[in-house]
Amino acid sequence: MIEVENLTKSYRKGATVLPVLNGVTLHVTRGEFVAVMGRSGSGKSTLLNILGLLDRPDAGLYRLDGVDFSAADDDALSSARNQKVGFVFQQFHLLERASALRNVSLPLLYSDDQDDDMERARKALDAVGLSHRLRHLPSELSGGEQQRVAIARALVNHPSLILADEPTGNLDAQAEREVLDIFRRLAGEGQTLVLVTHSNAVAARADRTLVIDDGKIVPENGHAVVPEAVEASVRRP
Amino acid sequence: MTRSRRLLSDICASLLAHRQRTVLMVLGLAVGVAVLSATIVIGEGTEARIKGLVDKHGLDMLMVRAGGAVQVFAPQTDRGLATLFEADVRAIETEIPGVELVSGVQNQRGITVVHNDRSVTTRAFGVEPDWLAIRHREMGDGEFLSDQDMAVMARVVMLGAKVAKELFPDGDAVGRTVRIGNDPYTVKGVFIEMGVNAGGDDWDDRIVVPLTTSTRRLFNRPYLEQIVIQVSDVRQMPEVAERVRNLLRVRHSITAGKLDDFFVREPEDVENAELETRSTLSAMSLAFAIVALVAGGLVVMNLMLVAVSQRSHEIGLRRALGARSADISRQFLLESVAVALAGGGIGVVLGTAIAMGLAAAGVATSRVTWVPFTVALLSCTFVGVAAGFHPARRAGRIDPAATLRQRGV
Repeated sequence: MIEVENLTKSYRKGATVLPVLNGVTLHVTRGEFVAVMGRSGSGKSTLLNILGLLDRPDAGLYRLDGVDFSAADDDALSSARNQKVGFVFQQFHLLERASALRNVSLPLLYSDDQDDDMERARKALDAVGLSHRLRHLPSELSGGEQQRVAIARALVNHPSLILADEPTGNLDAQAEREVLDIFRRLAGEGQTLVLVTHSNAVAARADRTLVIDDGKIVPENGHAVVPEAVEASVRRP
Repeated sequence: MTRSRRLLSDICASLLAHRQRTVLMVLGLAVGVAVLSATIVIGEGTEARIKGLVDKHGLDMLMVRAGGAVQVFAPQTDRGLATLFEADVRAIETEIPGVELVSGVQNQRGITVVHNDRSVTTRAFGVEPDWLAIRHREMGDGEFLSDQDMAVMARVVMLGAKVAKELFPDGDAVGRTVRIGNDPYTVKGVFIEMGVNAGGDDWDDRIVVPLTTSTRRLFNRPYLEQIVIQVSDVRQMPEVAERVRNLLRVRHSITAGKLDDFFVREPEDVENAELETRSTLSAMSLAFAIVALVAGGLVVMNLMLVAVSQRSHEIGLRRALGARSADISRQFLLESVAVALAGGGIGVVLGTAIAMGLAAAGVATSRVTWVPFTVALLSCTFVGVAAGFHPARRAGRIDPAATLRQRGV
């Protein structure tokens, strides 16, 4: 499903070059729910952007669904993001003045399918238990509900991969549990998920946890545990 | 829904979601378009009015008469002054800029036209083919004289409506033969009925023959009574008149201080002055409209740029969800064009209403045609594309990873 070999990526800031990823290698199989942990600046988000085809690696191999996108142009990458990837962000990134239904149907705007958008959006909202909130604006929804709208939006095009960047970082414990329950259920249905988190509790709900440090994956030994001190320093309210 | 319809409905939703900005952009352009369409509607009305006045009073015509300043008083009889000749006509035609058409004119009273047992004594004119357009006359039946008629000094005649009626009470004058003097002339055409003009001239009581026919056959003399001139631009009437005077003075060897042997009559100046003011006014409001349109375009462009930076997260999100760079650019370009067209629509209705209001108040003349609507549509599409191009390109270049990271972890 996901094959990453020796991925490197660095950012240029003026004259200095900041290496972010130094040879990341990882494999995720279909239907797996993987958590990625690491300190701020460890390269988690960059890795997620590359996995989500929003960013390109400088070197190394990345195959999604067996396809190597290293030579793909913007149109091909956009189309692949649309069809194969669903994003869930910490800040939800919902259109503030659009209803839940329109937010969820947004990816369909950029896909060539001729299916009835609204019907598909409704089904996706139904799948996250929000069929009673179709016409609500984000501001009329709780944080947990907003994140569930965002998950429905990620699901609407039936992607091969869902990427979640601190999806529960802005949620209370109750909402966090609801969101993770949905992820668990999706994984059970064969959905591949990669989730970035600072929280051991969140990571514990995944099938497997990868720790990234200094731009590299720390060798696995079951559920990795990030020292609480690190977590406390980077965990945000 | 097809992709384009979905995109379109998304654009409408975006514009509605940012109502304040949208309204500002629409108003920015509506003002310019309103002024532009009001200018056009009034301009068209004025144009139509000028044309009406010109046709009615021959405001675009200069007349040169033989004889000096005494000619101010219209001649009661033809006095037969031999000062104007065909060479003067050709010189005016070729040497004076601003002259559209020229015709030499001869005329003589007391010419008798006979058909069978009927006869009419009337005033005969010898003219050139352009005379018809210069005098804004129209044929009711048949045709006016041609270059060919001139070339062969044809014995053809055009009859005034009254003359035709008296000679041919049953109609059907065209193609028949009448006798003028001792010669047979074929009736080539009949003028439409004109009625008596303000000066007491009864234009229905006239006959017209080719100028060559009158000089060589009918009157058998070379000098002309008049030269009539149509100017290309009514507003240049005084300049053209002056040029004609100067040319004829040189040609007739009239030195400084000597009296002219001709008289150039200009149409009434009153109407001209009025027309000139109006055209200055309309040039000013046209300039204002263009400035307003450009300003409106700049307003749209700036607000679109603000929108692009304010909505960079939305753009990043859309890119993450699969929008191509081109989709984003197109969205912003179409938003700009949609706003411009809305502004144009409101502006053209507003402008037309203003023009009609001014016309109703008697301040201006208006005439509603399709022109302002077409101009509004074209100029707004242009302004929309021009104003949206730069913001759209900038929007398309936004790096999604960077914008999402800004607020991300």
